[in-house]
Amino acid sequence: MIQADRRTFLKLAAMSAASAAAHRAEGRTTALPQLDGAGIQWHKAPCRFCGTGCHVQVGVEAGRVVAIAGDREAEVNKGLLCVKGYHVGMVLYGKDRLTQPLLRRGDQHVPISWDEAIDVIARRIVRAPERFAFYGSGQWTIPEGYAAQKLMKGGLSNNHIDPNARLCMASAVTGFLATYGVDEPAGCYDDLDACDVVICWGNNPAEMHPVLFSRIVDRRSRGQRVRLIDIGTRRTRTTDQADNYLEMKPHGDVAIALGILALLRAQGSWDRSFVDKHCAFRALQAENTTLQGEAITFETWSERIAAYTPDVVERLAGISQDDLQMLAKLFADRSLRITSLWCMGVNQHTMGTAVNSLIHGVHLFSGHFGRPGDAPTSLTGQPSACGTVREVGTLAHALPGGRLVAKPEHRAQCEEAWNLPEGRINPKPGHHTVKMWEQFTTPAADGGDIDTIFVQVTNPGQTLPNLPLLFDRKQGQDDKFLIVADAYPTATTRLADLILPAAMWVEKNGIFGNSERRTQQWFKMVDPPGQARDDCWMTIAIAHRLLELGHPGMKDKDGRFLFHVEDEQGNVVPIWQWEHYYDVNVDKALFEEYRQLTRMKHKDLAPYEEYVKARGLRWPVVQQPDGSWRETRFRFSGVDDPYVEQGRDIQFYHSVTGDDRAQVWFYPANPPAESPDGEFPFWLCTGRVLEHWHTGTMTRRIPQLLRAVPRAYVEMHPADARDLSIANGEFVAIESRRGRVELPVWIEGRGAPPRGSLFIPFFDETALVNRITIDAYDPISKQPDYKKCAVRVRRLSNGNAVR
Amino acid sequence: MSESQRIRSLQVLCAVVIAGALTGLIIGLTGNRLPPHEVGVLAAPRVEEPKGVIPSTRYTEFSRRTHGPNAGFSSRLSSLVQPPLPDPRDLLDQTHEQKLDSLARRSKRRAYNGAPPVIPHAIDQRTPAACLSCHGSGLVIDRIRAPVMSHEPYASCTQCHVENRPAAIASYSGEGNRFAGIPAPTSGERAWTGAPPSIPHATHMRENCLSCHGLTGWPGMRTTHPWRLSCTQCHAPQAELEQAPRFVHAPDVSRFRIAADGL
Repeated sequence: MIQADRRTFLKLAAMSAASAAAHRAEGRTTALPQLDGAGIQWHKAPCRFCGTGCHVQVGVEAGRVVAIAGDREAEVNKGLLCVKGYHVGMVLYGKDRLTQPLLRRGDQHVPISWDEAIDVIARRIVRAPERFAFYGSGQWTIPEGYAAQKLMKGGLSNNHIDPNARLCMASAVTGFLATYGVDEPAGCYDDLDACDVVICWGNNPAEMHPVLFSRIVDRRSRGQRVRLIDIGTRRTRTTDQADNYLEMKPHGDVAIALGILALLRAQGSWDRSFVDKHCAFRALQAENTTLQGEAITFETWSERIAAYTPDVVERLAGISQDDLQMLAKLFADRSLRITSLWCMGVNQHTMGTAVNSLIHGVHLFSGHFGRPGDAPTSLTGQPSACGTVREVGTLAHALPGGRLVAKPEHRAQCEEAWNLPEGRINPKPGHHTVKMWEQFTTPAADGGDIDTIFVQVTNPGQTLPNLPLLFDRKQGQDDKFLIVADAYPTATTRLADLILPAAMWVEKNGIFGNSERRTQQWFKMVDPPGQARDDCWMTIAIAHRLLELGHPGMKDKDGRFLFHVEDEQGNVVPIWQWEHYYDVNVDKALFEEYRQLTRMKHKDLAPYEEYVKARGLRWPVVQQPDGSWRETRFRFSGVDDPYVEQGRDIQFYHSVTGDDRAQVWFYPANPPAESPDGEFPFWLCTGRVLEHWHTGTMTRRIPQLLRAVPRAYVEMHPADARDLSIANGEFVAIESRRGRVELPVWIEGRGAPPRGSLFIPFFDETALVNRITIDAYDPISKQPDYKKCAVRVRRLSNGNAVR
Repeated sequence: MSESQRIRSLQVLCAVVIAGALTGLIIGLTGNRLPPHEVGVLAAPRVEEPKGVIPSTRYTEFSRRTHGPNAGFSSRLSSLVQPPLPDPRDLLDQTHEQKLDSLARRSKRRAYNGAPPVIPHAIDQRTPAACLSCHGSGLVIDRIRAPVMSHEPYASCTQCHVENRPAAIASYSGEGNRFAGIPAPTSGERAWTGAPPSIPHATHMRENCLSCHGLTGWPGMRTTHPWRLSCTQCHAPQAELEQAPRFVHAPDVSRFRIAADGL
């Protein structure tokens, strides 16, 4: 079965593309006529791609996007973009856009009407509401995520809603919660302008957050000094500009963080006054562990941390004792401003919560916190992982505004805000992502309790780990029904039973929330092609069809529809009918409702109209006595955060201990889920490249980006290639215990892994690396580890012929 | 062997070598000529200079080996003797057809007017710093023309400019794209015959006019008066082209209670 995977996939992809193509409107595949630019209008929008949250200016002429420029008004990017951003307008114009709903009949996808499509979904849900799951995304706009959240938890009393962000930043969330009692970074990008030292923990911002990276290194062009330290498992473009490169063993980050803490403690060079005033100590319980763990004394913490001496760290992490001393010395120096950056290397980790907490711990214990430039800053990969997932709470256990389904008072607050009868919201958390897909692909007879999944704005058929187990098993199970809304045919639509054509980016209104707590709004600028429609409309239309079918959850206490929207005259607008969806600004209506829920955790959002005027505002956005709205750059910091009591320098006002203290954690360094052995002797790390974004469904349709990196490859050390007699460019098979993938080898390419280590980017749907990754996850955050598993390399008999 | 015989045989050897070199040169000059303005593929990624005895490449590996300039070669490219800059009087001979031709070639390297151009030659994948050795001040060597950067130097060139396409993983196929971006304008407006034309494009990221209009710039687009250094003294940018934001400015967020004591 595994041997045939790639061929089967290509065949299936071709098949679904062919059936989609057969129904495509005439002339859709030819290039659009060129306009002269005379009638161009410029609008603002955040970029569609990563979590940096750059603003672009979108040039629109005759109903089409014809140009893009960096937005000089935007504080994030100050007029500059990356190559993806400059080409973001082209995401709308791929030749194979999906333009009508397609239902699987046998091995064909046949076009059906939107009314039929919505009816099929609603009936599928009504049949067994508790077996339905909604799989969303950090690319959902805030109103889209909010609508999905309200439909599931408020309407269907069903908590099986989880986003792809579970695969991306769930460990960052648990790290923040365990440390500060509230999610999301205290600092912001301004720290990058003010810091003296940047430490990248398993992070390659030169490629993944290029605009932030150039914001740092361009300081050097202006004569400023900023020291860049790259702690990583392979050399990257970030290494190239780094002052120090500390090559660690995979999983070594836990030991490095512990080692810094141990040295600060042993040398007495921690910040006593900061720790005495603002910190407490914590560790996991001996058994029945929880996210909050248990309080321990400073003495206990000191005893446990003392085990991580430089020689132990050298053995565990592979970095030299001198390098560890160097890091400890930097943190011991209070005159420096130190910013830590991390992203997937730390998050996609079976000890993700631990490393996140320990990095925060290093900053807190050394007092490098709360002054501009002194910040532990976690970066996100998706444009609204923060805004939609973490703030709206579209996770199986969460409710909007940092609330939890398990807490009665939080449920009551949401029921009140949504005007729902008491007890409507289900107190039991739903399935997290890995569990959801495991249940979906497990036959009902074997206990699989999910039989319908609606996927919006994401591509799990490519991004789930261990695809043979978590996705491919769906094939042939006709009682399982997969609904996928997307703009293009993807690795997920290949197994979809119902494909819905989605409007994207500036084809709809939207609001994103980026990595630095910045909420960003844009307006619809062009029409989507064919019958493509907004994801938010789909959710509302399904809810209304459920109402028509008599589902009691679609009404509030007073018998009104869950998504009741009135116009200025007080008339109900039938927004579930597409032709009336843009009669009002549905985004604004949903956002104004949602924003009332944001204040409990002091994540206050301003009225919608404030975001129309701004290039995003960082929450908490607090109204001033003169009526204006003021954003917050440095949270918990007396210099800036309006919620810190007057006269205090730092106040962790959501402390889990209720005494305004943050938690400095201890975690023991445990081994990874799988390590190389005789049979599978190589480490495999997966990740991204600058030119492609995530699964490449958008960037692979942009010729300038595709030509730059046409396909996935495997990076290998030249000595390993020589030992295996593999030439540069030769196709090889990479095999793990779970599957196999064939790729060309690229030696001395974009990155350079050390001996015994491989790297493969995951953007390429024709070479699905997640067929071989492991589905082991962090026990607290449930986020899988895509960064390490054991594989072997096999030469192919025709490895050189394939190219 | 007598002295004269030795000299004689040396002369024969020299003649053979020279003849061979000349034949090679003539073949090289007549065959494989690149069309004008097309940039040849200069180099594959970085080739490490081996230490000590240099092992020869096995013939079986030859076609698959990475070949390219060593560190010394690439650092010397810009120090090669450059041809003299054109006589300013010749600049008057540029034609409108040349300009249209240049614009067409130029547009092939961009998705739309204003997009960052792609890199039409191989680059080192990990050290973009090398870009400045040619694009820092501009360069013309034979048919290879490296325009000077049009914007202030940023430290991470490959953030915006990407190679099309790396040799080691060359094959690709895509779905294609229907996008049609705005074209470059063909000329600026003149208020009357003989008036200096206005700048017909946005100047953001194109602050250095000499990138396209200087002596290393495109044929048909070069300035006819390179001795005048203050371009915008006579050629006015157009506010309406500067992607003027349609929305009012962000609310004033400068009223932070940030202490002035160095925090």
